Amino acid sequence: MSPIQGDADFNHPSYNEICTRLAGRDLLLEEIGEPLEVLLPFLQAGHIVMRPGLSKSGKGWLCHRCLESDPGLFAAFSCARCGQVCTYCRTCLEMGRIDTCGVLFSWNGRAPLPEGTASLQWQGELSPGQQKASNALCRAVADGTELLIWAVCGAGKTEILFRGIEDACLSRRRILLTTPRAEVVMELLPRIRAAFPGLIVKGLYGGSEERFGYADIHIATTHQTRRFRDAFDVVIIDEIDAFPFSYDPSLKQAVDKAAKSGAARIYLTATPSRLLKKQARDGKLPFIQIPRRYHGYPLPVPTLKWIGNWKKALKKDRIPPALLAWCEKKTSAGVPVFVFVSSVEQAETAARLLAEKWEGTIGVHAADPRRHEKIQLFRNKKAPILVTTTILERGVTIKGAEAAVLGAEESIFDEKALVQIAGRVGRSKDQPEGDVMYFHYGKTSAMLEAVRHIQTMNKQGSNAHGE
Amino acid sequence: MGSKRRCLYCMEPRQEQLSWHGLISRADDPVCPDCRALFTMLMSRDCRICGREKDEQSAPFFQDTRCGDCVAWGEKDIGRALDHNISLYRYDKAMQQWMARWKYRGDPALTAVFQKEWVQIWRRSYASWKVMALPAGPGRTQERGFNQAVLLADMLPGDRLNGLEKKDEPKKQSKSTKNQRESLFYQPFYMNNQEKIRFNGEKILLVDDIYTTGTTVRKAASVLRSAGAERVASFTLARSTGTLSRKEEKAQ
Repeated sequence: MSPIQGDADFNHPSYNEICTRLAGRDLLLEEIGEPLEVLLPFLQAGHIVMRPGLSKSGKGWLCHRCLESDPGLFAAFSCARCGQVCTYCRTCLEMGRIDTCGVLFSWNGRAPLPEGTASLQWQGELSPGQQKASNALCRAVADGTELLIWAVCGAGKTEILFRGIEDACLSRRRILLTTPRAEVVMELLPRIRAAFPGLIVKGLYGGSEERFGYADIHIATTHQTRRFRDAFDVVIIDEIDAFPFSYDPSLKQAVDKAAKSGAARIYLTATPSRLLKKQARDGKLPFIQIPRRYHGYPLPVPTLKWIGNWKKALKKDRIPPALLAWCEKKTSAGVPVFVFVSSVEQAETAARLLAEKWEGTIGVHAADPRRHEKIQLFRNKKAPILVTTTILERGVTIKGAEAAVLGAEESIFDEKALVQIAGRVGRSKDQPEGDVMYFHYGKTSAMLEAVRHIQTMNKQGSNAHGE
Repeated sequence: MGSKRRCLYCMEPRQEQLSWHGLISRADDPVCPDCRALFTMLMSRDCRICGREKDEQSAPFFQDTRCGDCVAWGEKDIGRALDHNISLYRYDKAMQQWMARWKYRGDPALTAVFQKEWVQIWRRSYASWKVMALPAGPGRTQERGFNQAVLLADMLPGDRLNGLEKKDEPKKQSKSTKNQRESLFYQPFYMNNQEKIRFNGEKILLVDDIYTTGTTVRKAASVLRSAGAERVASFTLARSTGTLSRKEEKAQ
């Protein structure tokens, strides 16, 4: 059976519907939501193609959805469907099992017609640094090239994207805005929607309800990009250095798979990895730096404060007095307070102890099923203090908040994490200043590097000022 | 790239090094110590029949060594079809999450998380019993690609006993309420009679994943007893503790 591409005679009442559901995707039959009989004419005409979910690759296996190939992440079982031993991929299991007797469907027909109108409704003005980055972004979008935007926390990265998104949509290009963290997707979604009310913008993260169907812009966690294939002309990766993207090579492959060949790739970060910095310096990766926040004020420089053996104190149900005093000062002035800790256990203990003094204090961590709800409580000023693990170190903007790290010497607080935490403070124009406290039991080089990083950015920013 | 040794559950690469801690923990454990610590083994058999724990909720209904549910079962023929139940773990949050991935997401490799404990109990107390996996309806098995009771039974050495079948139920058990589920008039199990199988004098160990009210295993046990089995016990991975018997429900 030979596929008849671009068959003009092929006319099916569900053509457009199936096209929008399937175009640019890699889906299981259950995910398409149509019985196989409906898909059959499309398959015969070559508008839909099937590929095996898994195939043999060398000594091991390759998952065609998430591109996993580590033999340790595949398992076999005696399958009641095919009566044989089936191998399946454990990496992307959460999205529905891919096994040797399963099939992935993708679209091979006409490209979906854009439905929205790209007209930017944002009225604000870009800072000189933002303007420069925005211009570079538009060029990268037009030329289909790579670009690293290295912008300090609070540089106003979202606004930098607006013009490039508008240009891309006007030339009917599909856009993927992806970030490793669901929290960041949820922050971006309303802002992009508000800027482009005429476009269809969908948010994809574990548990979101808008999983399928057409969108002009997809905002997705990097995990969710696994369901796409050759879908996007413009791929913007926000917080490219963030865990788990930098630790999980299969996620990078998934983003590559979701992009069309020749797609523009934009990387955004405040804290690029060594590799990215090196590529930029060696001229292998075009980059632009924004050392100044959009409001023109410098980044708050962290204060280091020795607090002795805080772990022992926590064990005895005590919060170190210096931290208590700082919380007292801040909460009595009505300042929302972030307290960053290095483990779930510490988050729970510290939240419980602080709640004794400040009613409504909450603790949150990555595995907390109520974490989105809790962050919302803090945002709405229903909680005076939010004790959190590093999941909230980036992307989350709480107006007027100030931040403390309890145990800044812990290894989880590397330079990048500490810079990101400092970046939570002083983000609004009305309150551009605020405390960043690293409470520690011994200075680490990460703490000193973080301070140096911020000071360097501030220096560069003041040199660039008025440009 | 060589494959790293990973925890079977969280799939993180294993980092445990040889240390004093390593000597007291299990070197051959397929899961990391953090994941192992998530699960709670049931140590005391408070209810002699079903293994239910005596807690705030169930204690008032205990009569000697039997929980309220099992006292009530003792008054019914079908209730007496089951000799007893033994469960390995408490069906708490951690166990629920594990089951969700194992059974509903469909990660059969996770069965091995509990292999050691599972085989140990069988060896200690049930090595002379004939093992039978609680059958699932054909539709359900097709849908999942496996029957979870078979996965559990297959960890035990020796032959399986066959002959019992189950009809597909109209509703998913875990979604229906206890009353519907407990309707004793609905019998989904039957003997595959073409083979004229009899279990005369056999002791049968019926394997399933969760014991909640014990209705399902008792329905199966009653068919097995009619086919001649002398005793039927159930061997389950988890004992659900949150369920109330009707009497307890009324008391609330």
